[in-house]
Amino acid sequence: MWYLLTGMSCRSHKEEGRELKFDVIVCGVGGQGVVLLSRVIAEAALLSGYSVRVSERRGLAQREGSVCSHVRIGRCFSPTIPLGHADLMLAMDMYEALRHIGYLSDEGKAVVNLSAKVHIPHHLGINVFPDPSRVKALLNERSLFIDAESLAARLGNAKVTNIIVLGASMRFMPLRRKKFEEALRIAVPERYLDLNLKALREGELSWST
Amino acid sequence: MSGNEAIARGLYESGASLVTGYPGTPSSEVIKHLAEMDGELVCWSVNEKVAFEEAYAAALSGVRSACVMKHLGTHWILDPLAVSAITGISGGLLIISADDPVPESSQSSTDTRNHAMICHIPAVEPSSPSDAKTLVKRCFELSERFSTPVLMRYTARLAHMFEPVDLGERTPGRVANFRSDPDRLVSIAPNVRRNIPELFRKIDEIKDFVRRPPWLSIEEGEGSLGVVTSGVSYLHLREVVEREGVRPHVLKLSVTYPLPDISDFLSHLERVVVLEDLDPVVEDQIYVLAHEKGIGVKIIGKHSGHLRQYGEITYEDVCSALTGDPPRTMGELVPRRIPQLCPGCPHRGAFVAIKSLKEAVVLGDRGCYNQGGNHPLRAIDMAIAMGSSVAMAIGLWRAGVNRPIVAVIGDSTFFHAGIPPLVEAVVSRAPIVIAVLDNMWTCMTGHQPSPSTGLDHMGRERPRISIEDVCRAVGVGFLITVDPYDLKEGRTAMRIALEMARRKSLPSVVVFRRECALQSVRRRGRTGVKYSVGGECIGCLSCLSIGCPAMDLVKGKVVILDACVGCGICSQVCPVGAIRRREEN
Repeated sequence: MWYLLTGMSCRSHKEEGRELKFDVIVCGVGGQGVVLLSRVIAEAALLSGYSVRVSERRGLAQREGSVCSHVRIGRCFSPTIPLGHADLMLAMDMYEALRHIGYLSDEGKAVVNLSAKVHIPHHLGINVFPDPSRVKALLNERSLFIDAESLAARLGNAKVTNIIVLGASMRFMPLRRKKFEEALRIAVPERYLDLNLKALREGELSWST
Repeated sequence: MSGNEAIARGLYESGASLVTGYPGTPSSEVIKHLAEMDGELVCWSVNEKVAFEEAYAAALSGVRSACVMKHLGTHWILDPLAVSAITGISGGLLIISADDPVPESSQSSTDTRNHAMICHIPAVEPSSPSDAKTLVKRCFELSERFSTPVLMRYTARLAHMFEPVDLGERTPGRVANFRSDPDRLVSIAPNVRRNIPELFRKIDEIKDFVRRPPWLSIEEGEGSLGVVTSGVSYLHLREVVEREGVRPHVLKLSVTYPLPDISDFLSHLERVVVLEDLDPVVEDQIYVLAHEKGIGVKIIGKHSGHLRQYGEITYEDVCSALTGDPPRTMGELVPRRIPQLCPGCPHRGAFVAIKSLKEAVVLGDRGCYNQGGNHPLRAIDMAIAMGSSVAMAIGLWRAGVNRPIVAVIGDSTFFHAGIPPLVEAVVSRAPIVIAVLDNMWTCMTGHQPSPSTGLDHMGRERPRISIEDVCRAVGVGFLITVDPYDLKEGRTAMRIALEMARRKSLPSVVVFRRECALQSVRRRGRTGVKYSVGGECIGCLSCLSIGCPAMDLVKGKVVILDACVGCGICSQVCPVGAIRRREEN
């Protein structure tokens, strides 16, 4: 069902001959590969002949901070996506999905990794995070959840969780799979390429299981 | 290419022969990228003032040079910068400063353009990475044409924004040739008095020179609403024009000080919106110009209350200023994530040891170790500016604060601004304890070399300056070096250091030395040592209170994650010895 809906909306971008505009928010916690994800999407868009603008907020990424990238494909000016205008969100973490949900448009969709990472002070009663089930309920309407960590574990490397989320999101973007594969070739070291291509495929197929 | 990389590319293509700087987010990557293009062109200096003076001297010898820093660094260079404006230069000289309007990683959010006004040098602002690359080249031309340093101010948003940028060839660098000119370069009052009128002539000439393209551009709109814009706000404006269907007349400025005479543009308008990050620098100059020329245009901006006086100017702000609707905002649905020291960070052990001094006032400084002030470690009472820890520790003691006083300062900060207050502490006989956290790199900004690294930015060996030798030479009363991974040693050292400081009426120094854990893993790989929690755990959560991101609480049980690098601090704070070391292959 999701596939049909979004497949159609993507085609319509081209059929109407309008200039493409597609805004993606990528978010997560430092260390979850948000920056790489946004660069792969940007590269795939460039390879497809679109102009791209990316803006990163990664202040304390190394130190457990929240990280967010704006990827703007096609005709755009502002480096950041106006609130309520993103077409798609890729979230590596449910809390970060909720934190950045204001960027998503009413028709926008979010592909959310089923991880709910709290920070250490939470366990000691400081800056306590809401219950994951409540977060999931708040996100539910516009989100698709994927257990990318388990899928990555099955592939033998937790580091490709981000690429699995990308694979699962591909069908919602107006870019072809081949371009994402080419982008991975550029962005990922040779020795990890096969693993990443497998992860992309695994993510793509995840909806059918 | 990011804004930072585009600036580096602009410097490279312009034939800059020397680019100096001191690291500071969001500007640090400029020098990193330039070093990748040609490592011989760059140099990380000990602090911004030294960086500026190196670049200034190079410019006096006829070559093109630049210094790169964040806005906070420009506070340190004001003295020689003001003089450089009076003496003028031979080769082009740029001061490239990244402002942090939010601020995301700074103790204040000052607007660097104010410094340009104080010193009477032009301030130039790019609005996108490609614009930045082009402007670097133009700034060198401007600098040489008017024999003046030029300040290029950009913002964090531009630094970390990526877009495709066209590449050009490098213009070859020039050969240095210093010609003596004491009447100009010896800045004693009689010479300065003679040369100052020239400075004001120059700024008037520049004002006239930048009145036309490419220094400004005008896009005709409809009606009587106009916008004067600079920096990234220009891009937000274009987006608002496209989305909201408004059609203002737009004037985009590259030079925001001195403001060229734009009275022709203003006189046709009923209202003009002024968009700029931070202070109303352009707006103030427009008020003056409108007053001088008797133009009755209504100015909409920070003074009129339509735009905030602080923070980053966003798409939503621009939209609101143009349409009059309140800006759309995003609610805070999830608490802020509190940053922690990294797994294995040597500072964690140092802070646990420092905290063992009862009743102590602990003054932090600027660097990674500020994370130690966050919950749950919460080990510092204040953190002000580079080097402030030591000086303010002396101040507390002079004021009569009757508690143990500890200043905590990192290696790079110690060399940057910690040595003068150390001298002050000795000559004042201040009985304070100075803990130097030497992790051998400038880590917070991306692991640039510090004088304590012993390597340069290319990984080549260079002299390593010993913190202990500096302290001995200055004459501290007591000096000891410890391993921050050994809590017992650290606690004992802190206790004795305090006793000795009081007994000798002289400062004590405890050097906590161990390489940054990230760098250590990067350079030598993991040690294979990890820790895990055994069945004896009583669930007291003492170990979580050290704020290690490699620990988690799962169904009420503490677990140690794969991110553990085996520092063992947690096992030393466990009251029942439940956390044990194990070796992995």
